[in-house]
Amino acid sequence: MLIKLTGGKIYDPAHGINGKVKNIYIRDGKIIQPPKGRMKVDKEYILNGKIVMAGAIDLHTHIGGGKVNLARTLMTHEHRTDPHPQTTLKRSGSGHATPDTLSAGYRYAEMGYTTCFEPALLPSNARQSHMEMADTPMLDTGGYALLGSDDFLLKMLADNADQSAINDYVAWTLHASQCIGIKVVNPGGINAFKFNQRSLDVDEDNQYYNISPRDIIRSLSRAIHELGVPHPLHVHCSNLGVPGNFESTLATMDAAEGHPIHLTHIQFHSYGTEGERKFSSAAAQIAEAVNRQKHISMDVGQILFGQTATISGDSMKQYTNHQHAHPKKWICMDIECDAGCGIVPFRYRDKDFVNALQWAIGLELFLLADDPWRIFLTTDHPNGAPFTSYPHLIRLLMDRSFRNDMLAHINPLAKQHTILDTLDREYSLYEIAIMTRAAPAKILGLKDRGHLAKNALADITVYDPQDNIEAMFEKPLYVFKSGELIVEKGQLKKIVRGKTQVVRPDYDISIEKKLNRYFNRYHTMKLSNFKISDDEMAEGIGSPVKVHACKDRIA
Amino acid sequence: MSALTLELKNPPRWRIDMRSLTPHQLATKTNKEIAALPLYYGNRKIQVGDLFKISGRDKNNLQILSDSPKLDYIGAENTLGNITVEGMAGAYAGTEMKAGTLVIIGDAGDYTAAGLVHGNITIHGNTGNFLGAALVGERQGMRGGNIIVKGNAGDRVADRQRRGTIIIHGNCGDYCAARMIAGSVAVLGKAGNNAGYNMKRGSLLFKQKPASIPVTFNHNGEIDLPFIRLFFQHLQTIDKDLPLLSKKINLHRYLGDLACGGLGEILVMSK
Repeated sequence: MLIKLTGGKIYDPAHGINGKVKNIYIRDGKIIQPPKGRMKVDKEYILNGKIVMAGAIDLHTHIGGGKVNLARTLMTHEHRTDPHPQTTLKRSGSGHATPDTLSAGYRYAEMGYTTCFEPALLPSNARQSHMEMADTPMLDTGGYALLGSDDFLLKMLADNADQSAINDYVAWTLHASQCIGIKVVNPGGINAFKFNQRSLDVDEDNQYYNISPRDIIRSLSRAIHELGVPHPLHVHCSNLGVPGNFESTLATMDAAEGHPIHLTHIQFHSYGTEGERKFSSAAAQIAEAVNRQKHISMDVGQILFGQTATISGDSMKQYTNHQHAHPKKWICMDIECDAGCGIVPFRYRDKDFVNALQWAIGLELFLLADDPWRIFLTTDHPNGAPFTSYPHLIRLLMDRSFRNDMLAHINPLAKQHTILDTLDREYSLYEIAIMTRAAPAKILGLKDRGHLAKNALADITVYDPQDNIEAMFEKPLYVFKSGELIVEKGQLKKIVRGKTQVVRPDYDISIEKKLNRYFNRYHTMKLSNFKISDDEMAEGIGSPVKVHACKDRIA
Repeated sequence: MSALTLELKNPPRWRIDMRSLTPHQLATKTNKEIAALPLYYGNRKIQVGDLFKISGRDKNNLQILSDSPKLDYIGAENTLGNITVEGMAGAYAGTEMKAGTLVIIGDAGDYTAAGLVHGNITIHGNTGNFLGAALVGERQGMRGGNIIVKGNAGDRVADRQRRGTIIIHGNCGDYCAARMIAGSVAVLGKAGNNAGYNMKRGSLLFKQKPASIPVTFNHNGEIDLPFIRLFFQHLQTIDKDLPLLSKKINLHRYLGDLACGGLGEILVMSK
């Protein structure tokens, strides 16, 4: 079947196309070259004046895994009061900040997103996380395996193990847990919390293993680089939310020693200690450092005002944050002795000094970062705000007068402490297309999406231009997933299922001998049950894998 | 003016969420508008008029005619007026109600008056479990107001109750006033096992000794408490049908739950 999208304005930053009018041809779920000669077009969409972009990619959103489920059970009020009815197409669901899997998939597709990544997939929970993501319709998914506070790695580092052995373990973890990247959360800190340390700075030692977050960042970022994994080490830095933590964020950048790293929800890590409240913006220092160091990328984790739930593997910092819980209930727990989990419901208020400044810091970071290829649009769903507020966030970035109107309403003291009103920058559609499409595809090594040239998957979002940017991004005119029309005028048309995106770096299988001994002695399951096979992904879990290429392994 | 009346046309197949049909939300609407309001029926959304016949114009007095136990959340979060249910109510009747009265002539389901904030709720039939308790995931049960049950109540009456009064003329099940923070419960019939389990403060009055009281309660002996006559006077202002306490009686007093501070009390009128 040949589908033709005629006359749309194309925004395809991967090929430098900025609003040029072009036709797109789709066959068998992929974009093809304009056919030569006369060909019968089966379905034509006339898109004169409409905006055409690739399907959006969210590289950091908590949509699957044990902690999301725990958050759902904790946030009973929003599930009781926010039911989503069944329709002829959709199944019923509930929730806003912690929606059920079905609602999350539907809503993402209705906003023009086609691929999403769960950033904290604990290898020992991988099966359940993949099952949940398989249950999230409309989207291609993937996960970043969580390492850095697991005893096996910490023991290797404490014993000064050879880097190539660490590389083997990292690669094995990617294979076993069917992931596309590695994430480290409060490096070594979750483990240190179990030995009663309540904070851990970048150069402070974990009391049991005598290794510091710096050691962990160094060896893991090196491992990712040497294995040829496209996505750099995904780092949730030390000292989340602590005033003055920008210094440990800068130290984390240094710790990578030039290897590529991605700093996630950096807004929570850009706080200074100036001013009468000893809490200030350090967005300028962080943005300057990232602008200068081309091997570093970041996503923002913007907060937006309202009720949400913060969910994180960082049990150390979530334990500290529990005193700010709203409503007053929270969960902190250990998971399989390999990582932690902390859930604290949170209400960000625009009249609160700290919350208002957090909001401003996130926007400052967006506006001070020079290179849209290295900064990504996220709210760290649901930690900063639910993903449903992305259109609002895009309007804040693209519409300066709207931003200043919002700024007028925040806490007056916070307003004095931000330089937001002096920042004139407005993002263009082209830059938004970079941030939400081309750049995530590039940094994740997804060659088959995020652009609109030949051989790309026909994941395409078409917007109807409007004066109100928020309304435009809220309800795309058409969304195509692998060439099928799934959304029309913001309404679902067809339910589709996605695939799990993975990478498979080479490794030495003999690492399993050592791992097998470790599993038999310490773990709650056998190594053979820990690993998830491709067959299980396809048949048991219901989300077949799609393997993306790695570069060659160096060491 | 006759009361605004909602009459079920047919026995419903699925459960109906009645949350949107309370006097405070209907006050300014015409009957035609009410018929067009969205209503959750099972997991779908339909219109009020599809299920109910609507008559009467007095929006301050809402009458619901129901012979089905599937009408959930009747009067939930209501802030004004009177609601009368001629027949049965489903689960969650009067949850988090802020003001007004709710009278249920027949039986009510689980979680009746859970999280009640203020107002009066009377059930002439029986109720299910978790009467006046905390809604799932909430940290407090009823926070004020009065509940009168003429029939029996199920298990976990007043679970996590914070304030307010519950009077049960019939029996109640196990774990009456479990995890109670404060408040008053009077049961005139029999009570099940583990009454007052993990209660912090508050008063429980039982006509007969419950089937069991946790071992973490201390028996203070048989005493004449002048307080009990004041307490009865107070209860009678809430419930005129309460029998008068005519003669002087000695009460068995149990203090507990010592596992949770031990400032609560169980008062038993006869052995």
